[in-house]
Amino acid sequence: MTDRRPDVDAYLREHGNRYTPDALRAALIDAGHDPAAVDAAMAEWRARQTATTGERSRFRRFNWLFHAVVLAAVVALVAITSRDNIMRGVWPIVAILLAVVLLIGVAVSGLIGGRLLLPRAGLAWALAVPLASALLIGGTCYAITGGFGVGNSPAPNGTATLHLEQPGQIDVSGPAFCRAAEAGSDYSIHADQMSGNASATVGLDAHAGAPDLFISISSGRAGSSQFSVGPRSTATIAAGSGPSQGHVDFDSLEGVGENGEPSAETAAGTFTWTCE
Amino acid sequence: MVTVLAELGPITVYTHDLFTLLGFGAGLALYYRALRRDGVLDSRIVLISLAALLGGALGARLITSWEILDDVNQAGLPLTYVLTHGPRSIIGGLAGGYLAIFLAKRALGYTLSTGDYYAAAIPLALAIGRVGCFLSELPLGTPSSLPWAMTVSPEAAAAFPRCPGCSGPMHPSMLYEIGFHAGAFALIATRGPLLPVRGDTLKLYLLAYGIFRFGVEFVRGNEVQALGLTGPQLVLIPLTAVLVVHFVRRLASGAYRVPTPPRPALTGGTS
Repeated sequence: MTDRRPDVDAYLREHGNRYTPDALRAALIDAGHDPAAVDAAMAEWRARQTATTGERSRFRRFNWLFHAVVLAAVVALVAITSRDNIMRGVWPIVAILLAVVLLIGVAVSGLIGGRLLLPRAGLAWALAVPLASALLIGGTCYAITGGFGVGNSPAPNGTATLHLEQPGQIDVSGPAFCRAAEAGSDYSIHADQMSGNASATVGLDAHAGAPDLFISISSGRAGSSQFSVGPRSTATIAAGSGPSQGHVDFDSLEGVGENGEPSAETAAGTFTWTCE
Repeated sequence: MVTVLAELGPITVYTHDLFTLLGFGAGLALYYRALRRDGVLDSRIVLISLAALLGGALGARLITSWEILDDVNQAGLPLTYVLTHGPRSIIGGLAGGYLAIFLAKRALGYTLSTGDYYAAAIPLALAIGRVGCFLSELPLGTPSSLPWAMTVSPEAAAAFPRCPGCSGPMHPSMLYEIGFHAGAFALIATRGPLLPVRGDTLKLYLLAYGIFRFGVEFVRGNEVQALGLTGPQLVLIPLTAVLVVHFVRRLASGAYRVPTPPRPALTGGTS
């Protein structure tokens, strides 16, 4: 049993939220206070900072649930940040799952803590702040880009192949994203995971029958090279090509250097796609 | 390079993901242990932790997303593509998590600084996570003739989209990071809070990591974006500047002098 020290209590009340327990304890003991009395006062101060004893007991009862909620959130978040092929096409499902998990977390916290741990105003803030932020950020993006492309699944809906004769013999293929414009005959094809004797990314924008083509090739030892349509290039979309299938023949695509300036390298070959 | 650790029926266990999960788990366990030890674990902390995880995940995907925005627009892909396929960055994860904690605490009216409870947990989580990066994503570095420089097989190099140093020995930048985080963890775990103000040990660690990472970027081989600096370096400049300003203000105001407590009153008698 230790004596109550009102001066120690007052000191902890004044500085406890700003300084670390170790620093305060050391200062009190240096000032000549009994270590046991200091520890008791600090334990009491900490208890006042958190829930009451009854609430802590209820919290302990639901401890496993809290850990399950945290674990579910961790797994969902690892899925979000994981390798691309895990998440392809399932992003909306994970987002909904995560939202549900967070709501369960809020609800469980509210049930256990009641008004003392999570006051009604706090609960409202906890829900309103993310919602308002999402609306603000989402609205701004919508205004800037003219839409999110809602309804366009990020899952690939086709396959593409790239055959290069220059700057070297390269044959790669992989999944492709094919997208037709909402109006007119424009479309775009994007393939960013093509592999074979190198890895490559190809972006094709067909606007009024004219192709805007970008190719990026990486092979471990040779490093990476980028090519795009320039004034000396020829790129022709084959007759009958469209967002569902087609091919482009190109020659003298201009190399793009590290700083975006043209390089001496050129590319020639064909790009073919087939989509649903 | 070990991209896949195991295939269990339909489930593929990717090295990077497993170590990310292990890092998260170890960090959270350490964090909760510290909170429990100090008796400050309550339901609001769980919500704050969830907010931190969500903010960290979003921040990791978004902070350098500008690097691919042009490609995404050009390909006509939805903006959500950035979240699901964009580049990932630990710096973004730390910044997003920190911001989420700040907002969540404001929303919940939680006033006690919890930064020091993360101070040992974050370097532990990052050290473990970086082991996954090292095993699955090559050492990632510029060419080097130092004795500890590493080489990779042509097969492993060919599987990696960008590796300017793969033609010979290169800096094992991932090992440098593992060393930094492991050292920071050992220091904080054994010595406790390094500064007397609550939360500032975490900020000191973040500042040290910001400076360290800025330097490591010079030997990491990431693509130069502007002014001769890589994307992470450009992001680190403002983030590190904010922390420098914070510590300058703290030092100028004498915040690290712990207030002198009242002396115990004499109760009479001598011993």
